[in-house]
Amino acid sequence: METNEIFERLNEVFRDVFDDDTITVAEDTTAADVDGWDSLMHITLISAVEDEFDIKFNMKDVVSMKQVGDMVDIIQQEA
Amino acid sequence: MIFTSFKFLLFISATLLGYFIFPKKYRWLWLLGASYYFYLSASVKYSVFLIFSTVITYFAALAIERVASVSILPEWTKEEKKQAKKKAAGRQKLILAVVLLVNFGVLFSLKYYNFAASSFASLAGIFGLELSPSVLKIAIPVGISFYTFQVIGYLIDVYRTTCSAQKNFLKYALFVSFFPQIMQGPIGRYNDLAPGLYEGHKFDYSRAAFGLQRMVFGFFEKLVIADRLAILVDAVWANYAEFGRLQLILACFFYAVQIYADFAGYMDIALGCAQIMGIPMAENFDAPYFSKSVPEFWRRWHMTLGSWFKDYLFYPVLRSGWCTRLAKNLKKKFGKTVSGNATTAIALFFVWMFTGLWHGASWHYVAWGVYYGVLIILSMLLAPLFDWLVAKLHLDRSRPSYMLTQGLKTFAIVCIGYILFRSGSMSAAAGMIGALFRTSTPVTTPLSMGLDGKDMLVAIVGIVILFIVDIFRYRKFDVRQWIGEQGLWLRWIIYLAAIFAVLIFGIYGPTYSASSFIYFDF
Repeated sequence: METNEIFERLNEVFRDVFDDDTITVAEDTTAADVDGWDSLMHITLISAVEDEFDIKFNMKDVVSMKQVGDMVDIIQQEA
Repeated sequence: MIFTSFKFLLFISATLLGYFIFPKKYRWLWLLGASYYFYLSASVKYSVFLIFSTVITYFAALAIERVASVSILPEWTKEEKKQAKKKAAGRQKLILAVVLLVNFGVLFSLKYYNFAASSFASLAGIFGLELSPSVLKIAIPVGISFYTFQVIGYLIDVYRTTCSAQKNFLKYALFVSFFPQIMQGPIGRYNDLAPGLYEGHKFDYSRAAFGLQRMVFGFFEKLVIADRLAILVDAVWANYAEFGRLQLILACFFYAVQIYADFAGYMDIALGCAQIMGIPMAENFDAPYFSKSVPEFWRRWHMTLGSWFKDYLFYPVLRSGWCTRLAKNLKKKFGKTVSGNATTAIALFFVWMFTGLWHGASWHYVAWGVYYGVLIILSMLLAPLFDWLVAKLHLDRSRPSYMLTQGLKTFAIVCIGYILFRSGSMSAAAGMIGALFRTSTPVTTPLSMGLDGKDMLVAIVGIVILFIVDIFRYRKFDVRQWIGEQGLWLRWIIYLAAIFAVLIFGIYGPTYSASSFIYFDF
């Protein structure tokens, strides 16, 4: 899958989960950059990304993702 | 050995000297020796539990890794390969489950057995059954809650392949027993802590000066502030019926400062001595009393415990099969908001009940944990309502007045929580809350709370200094860096003033014996 396509689809997921149409994520976007991305929302986000790309993150991925770029790498490997 | 004892000063001087004299390659061995000496000086008998935990998790981690590297032959069919991998995963799970059970079993037997047995007997009593369970007469090994969590975190990390198993037993033993953190944390993660322990760091003057400054500030927090306020807090909690409402409210406030100065003071001493040796350790506090919400408070208070519960309990519960199925069913029937909120609330309830219980085997700790659980669940569920209210009332969340109100509200909630936390039992907590709300209250002055005018003044000056330092921490301004940039005269005036403040205003008394830190009991 093309990186551009992953980012486009991720933007939609983020906008939906955080209820904010202005969100545009980049490789270096972290939880600190998105209003409301705390440990409670993290799992909601993870589940939404899993549903969107039809993949399953393992616990290592869930706890060690530091930025959106890490998420994109895993999606590319899994999808 | 307590950090504020004379014996510790001798110990740390010898340890630091030895560390820099030893050849770089073997410095970690020196640290291991020092760490075991430190722990054994607290109790030789109970070190058996530490060694047991170290040995069992060391071998379990190696076994988990060995089982994972299952040899798959190229001639195998796809199905055979799949089956071999499945079998290996099953074995890994089994090893992990058994070792978790054994470690938690030891913790449970030593810390919670008496509590569980007496609670069960009381419950049976309600139904007319008279039980008299035998009481376990054994003290809780110091630091067991901390090191048990640390080794379990390591084992799960190896299972998740977040880190590799340490092959060298002695190196692993150092990771578990490193003296600054063995008694009361911070609960270290292997990937963050271990590399710094094994690398022989060379002496660096400015790093050592920073570390020393941090230690002196830790002694100041503990000896000048926490131990002084402890006199007042103990006096009020012991006889709360004799004090007026204002004194009780003040006592809650002073306890909030005491426990923070006590615990953060310990961390400053621990992280300070590790910093002198160039070993980075995880931070446990980030100006927690400046938080604007309860969830934010818990991201800034005892951070390593919060992050442990998040990674090893909260996320696994939410990602578990039954929780995922429940979420899917709820989503079909009620939509994604209800589904997300319900499952998160269940996981949060577990986390907070265990957080309470982690602090001690008593119902008042459970109640304290549940208090936060309920508050955090409510803040999550009511967030849309608050957003609506803020919009309706045209409140600006970025205005200082709004932030100040939120900060004061959060601090008040934390102080109310401390009534449950500090009182030795549920009935004592209920008594204290009752005393706060009674109509006729005794008239007493703040000076009758166990501290004289001079001590009260020192305590208040100490609190103001702590407050200012925390403002700098909150604004990410490095005070030590600033001190380091000052001229020789000013720099040394600050150093000497801090040292003399600890020596003159520390609570020692005529027959000084170092008072224990609050978190030693957990």
